[in-house]
Amino acid sequence: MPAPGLRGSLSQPPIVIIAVERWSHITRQGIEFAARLSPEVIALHVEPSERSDLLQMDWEHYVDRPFRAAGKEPPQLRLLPSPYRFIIIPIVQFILDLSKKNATRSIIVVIPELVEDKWYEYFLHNQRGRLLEWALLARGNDRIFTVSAPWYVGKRP
Amino acid sequence: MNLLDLIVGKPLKTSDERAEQIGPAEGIPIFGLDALSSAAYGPEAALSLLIPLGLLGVRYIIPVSSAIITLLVIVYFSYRQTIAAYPAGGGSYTVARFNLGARAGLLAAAALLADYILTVAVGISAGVGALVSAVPRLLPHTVSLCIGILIVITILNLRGVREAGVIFAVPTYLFVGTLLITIFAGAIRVVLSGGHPMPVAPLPPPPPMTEAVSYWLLLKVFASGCTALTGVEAVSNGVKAFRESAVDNARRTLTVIIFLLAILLAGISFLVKSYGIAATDPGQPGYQSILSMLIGAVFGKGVFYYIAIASILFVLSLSANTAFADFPRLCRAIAQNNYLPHAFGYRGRRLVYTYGIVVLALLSGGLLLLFRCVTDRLIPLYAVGAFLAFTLSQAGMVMHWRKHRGPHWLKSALVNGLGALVTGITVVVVLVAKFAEGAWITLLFVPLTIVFFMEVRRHYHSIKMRIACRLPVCAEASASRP
Repeated sequence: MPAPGLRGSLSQPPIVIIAVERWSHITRQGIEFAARLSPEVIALHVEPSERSDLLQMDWEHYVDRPFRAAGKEPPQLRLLPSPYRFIIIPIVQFILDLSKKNATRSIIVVIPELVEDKWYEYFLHNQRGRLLEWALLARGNDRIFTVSAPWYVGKRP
Repeated sequence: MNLLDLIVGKPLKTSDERAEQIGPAEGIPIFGLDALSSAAYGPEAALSLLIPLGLLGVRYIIPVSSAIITLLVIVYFSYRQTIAAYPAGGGSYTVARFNLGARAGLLAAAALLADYILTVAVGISAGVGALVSAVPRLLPHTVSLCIGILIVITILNLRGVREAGVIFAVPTYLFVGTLLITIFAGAIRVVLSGGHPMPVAPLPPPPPMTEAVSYWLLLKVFASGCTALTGVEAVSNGVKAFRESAVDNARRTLTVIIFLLAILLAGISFLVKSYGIAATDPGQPGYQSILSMLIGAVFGKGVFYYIAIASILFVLSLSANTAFADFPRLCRAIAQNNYLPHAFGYRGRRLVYTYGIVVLALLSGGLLLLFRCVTDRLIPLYAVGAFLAFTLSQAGMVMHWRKHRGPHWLKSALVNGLGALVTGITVVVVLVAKFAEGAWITLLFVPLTIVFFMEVRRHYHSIKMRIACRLPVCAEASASRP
């Protein structure tokens, strides 16, 4: 009978997953936060997308270089193929596989999100962050955690 | 297999896209259903306005129909040129945007959205209207029947265009076939009887004459009858859906659709005049549609009559499908220019633009509920949107020829210019003649939609500016390996 409490090894840091679409302030803030949580960060980008090439160039320039300059291992960028154009499912599948392979470690999924000023503007942007969170709750396990990394469009007091 | 798979089918791969493309035989029902089925309500809309002239009024259908068919031919040449000039899909939106500027493009887009929403509403309500006039017992269930048909069409379209094509082909060809047989047989009877045929099924008594003829009345008759032209632009919007060579296949499809429509309109008018068929008051007891009286007069009310009426019912309610093929594509084009939420550009699990299909279903369903499914009240809204889009598209083509001066540019520009002028006059006539009867709703919808487009774009632009980032990450504070 396992002892009640947090599962997963405490001696190892968590693996941090972050979903990225393109280079932006939202992504930058999310990566900085993810990198504080653990030295082991994996960024996931789902193909096909017209932005894949641009993202890889930006990644090299804005992420790889500064990490190497600081003498640290940069987060790795993984491109996930998606022949059915699903965005959420490949990410969820990757996380579940990763969790199975690392049965003693916990995984933190950082979800960078744009937060609008007004409620109706909510409909102008995709709500994949919410969907990803729900999908992970529905199919995940007790070693997978989700964290929202909000980026506010308007000013906050 | 889960429930969603059962309803909308298994997901398709992006690389399966080519298989979803079509040729003329499938293109005629998909892009022509709306145009061809207009023959079922266009002449009727014109004849309804001739009721006050009594039996005498019926003969005016010939000059009015001639004018409408002339307009149809002008519009045909215009769209033939458009298909070749814009093989990636040259709807009124694209043509107006490229040639008349972004603002005219938005005007065309808003007009087209109204046009498509009303194509769905009018098609379904007219189909169900015909059904309940044939089976009066169903009259109390009109609204639920309309909504039921709307749901079925929506699901078919969420499954994908190719399968929808097969399902819509049979009624379309049956509709055109039975009407052509009726016209052919009727024409022979007219000739054999020396121009005075006896109707097989008796016609209702002609209405009394309560008004004298005036040019204004004939102009209104023409404007209403022009609803027979709605839907002919569909092919030029959807050139991309055709197999290679897409331009040739699209042109062939358009030619067949226009030719069939012209034959149907000419034949119906000729027989209506020869048999002396006057319209009956819609919404009153004893109402019968023009086509019902016409087929009854030629063949009597036997098996053929019921097959023909059934195909009319099917085709009218399914004409909505043309809009379901085009509305999502238009929304995607608008969304790519950031004037609509980007969600309209995402293709769902079945390679169709799911959001466009669902939004169209919701808006047309709302209109059906608002107007309690009465076709007559929807038609004025319809004509304004459709003809505004025609006008902008053809005015855009005139500018196109002026810019790209090919060998016969002046002739081409004159054809399109004439089309723009005549369809423009039609818009004004419909707006003035039908303003109080509902045209004002479209007049309100169009500018409000344009404001919405501009707001969406402004918003996307400001977000893009704010999240654009040229700063590298700050790696100093990040966690280190233990």
